[in-house]
Amino acid sequence: MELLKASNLNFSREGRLILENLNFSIQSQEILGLAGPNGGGKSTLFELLMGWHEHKCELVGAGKAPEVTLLQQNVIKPRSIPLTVETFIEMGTWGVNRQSDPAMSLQDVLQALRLEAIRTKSIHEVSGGQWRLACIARVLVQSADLYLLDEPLNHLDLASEEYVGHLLKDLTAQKQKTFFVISHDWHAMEHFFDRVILLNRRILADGPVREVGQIYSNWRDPASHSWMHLS
Amino acid sequence: MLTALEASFWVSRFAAPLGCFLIFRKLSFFGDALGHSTMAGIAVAYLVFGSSILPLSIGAAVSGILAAFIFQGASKVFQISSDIALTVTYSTFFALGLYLLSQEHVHLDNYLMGDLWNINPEMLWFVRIWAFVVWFVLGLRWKALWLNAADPDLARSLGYSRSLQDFLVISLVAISVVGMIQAVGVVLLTAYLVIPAAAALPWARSLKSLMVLSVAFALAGSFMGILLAALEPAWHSGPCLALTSAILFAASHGLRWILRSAS
Repeated sequence: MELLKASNLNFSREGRLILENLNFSIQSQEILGLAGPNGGGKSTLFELLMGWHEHKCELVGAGKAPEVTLLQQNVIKPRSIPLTVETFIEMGTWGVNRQSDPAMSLQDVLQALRLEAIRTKSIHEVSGGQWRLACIARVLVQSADLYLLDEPLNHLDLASEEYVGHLLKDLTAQKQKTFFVISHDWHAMEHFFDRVILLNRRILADGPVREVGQIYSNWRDPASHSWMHLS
Repeated sequence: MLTALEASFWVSRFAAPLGCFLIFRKLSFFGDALGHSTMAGIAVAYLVFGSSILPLSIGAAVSGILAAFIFQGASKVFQISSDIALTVTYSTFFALGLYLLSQEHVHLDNYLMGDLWNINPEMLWFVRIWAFVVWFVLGLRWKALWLNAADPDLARSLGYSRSLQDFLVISLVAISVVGMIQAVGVVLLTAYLVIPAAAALPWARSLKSLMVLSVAFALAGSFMGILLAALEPAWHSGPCLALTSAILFAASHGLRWILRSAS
């Protein structure tokens, strides 16, 4: 079932075209990847889906408008604020007007992401990887139809990458959740994602990860590793 | 002295928790500037209605909120940095208030540096009631205000309006200024608003403990300040309270630093 559809989506900022004529749809219960070079408009697209900017296109949801939530690329640790890891995650449940089920309960997410041992620790005492896991956990305890995750696997070791990937898979299968995930990790995408969109201002490819990955390899200049000629 | 102690008890209870929100919303300096800006409204209310609490509170709130809108608007329209817009706005409002009061030969010392020794029964009732009102509102909007202070992006994605939460905190601080002026004067509002909350930071393990500890630091600072002021009748309460609060702040952070270094 189609959860959301964008048709002819354009977005400019300060006279510069950031996103041009995007057409794509997101199916419910899938893990959709979003890849492409830095500055290609991936994070901006997520901000548009959150409704944070005005844009020249209606994003149409199937039936009611889907509830969307976002894990940002860099969640800044609030300086000196006294928060335990558990309270920090729990803050994700403090929303208004959220009717549907969360992806996971607080207890479940602490278990699934191996955060139980540090649940009472201050957020200022945890490592970069543990902080990233806590940020992922805070998104998963929220009630939403569509979860936008901007490079969730950053700072994670291989084992953590594995169980985050498996967790997303389980949530799509068992809880009917949908994830749209920005990633540069083609290995992880091949393992866990159903489909990927390659974006560099325009959509360059949209399809199974292996096929889009092949396009990515062919387009990438082997000498300079440059993406310039993609634009 | 008992009346002064009681008044400072109630003022501590509403000012210190508001300071916690200002700190994390990075509005510490703004809180001080907001306090100064209320002077214009207080002066107008005083000249028209006398020293009645209700008009003074309304005058303070209107003046503080108006100053907040003007500084934000000026920053956008004239494309100047917000610290410049804030400084110009609060200086203007403060100067206007002082000018109006000086025209009526009001004793400005008491407005500038506090006067806990001569607190009147009406003001005592105001701070008692206001302490409950502030805690009631904070309890009601606890999650929204904390989310807005700690993580505005999350607050926005969870459906909270940033400007609404900011407006609420600004309004509470602006009205609180009426009570704080009596205790520390308009120049030293940070003694109640920011210093106790900042002193509590090293020891707080949660948001609730931070608020409770900030009140404890405010109470300790103000009681010590009143005792200090009682040594010499000519001393104003404001500077004494501000000094003792600052000493507690230094002791709190100093002790934490020693313990951290030793471990």
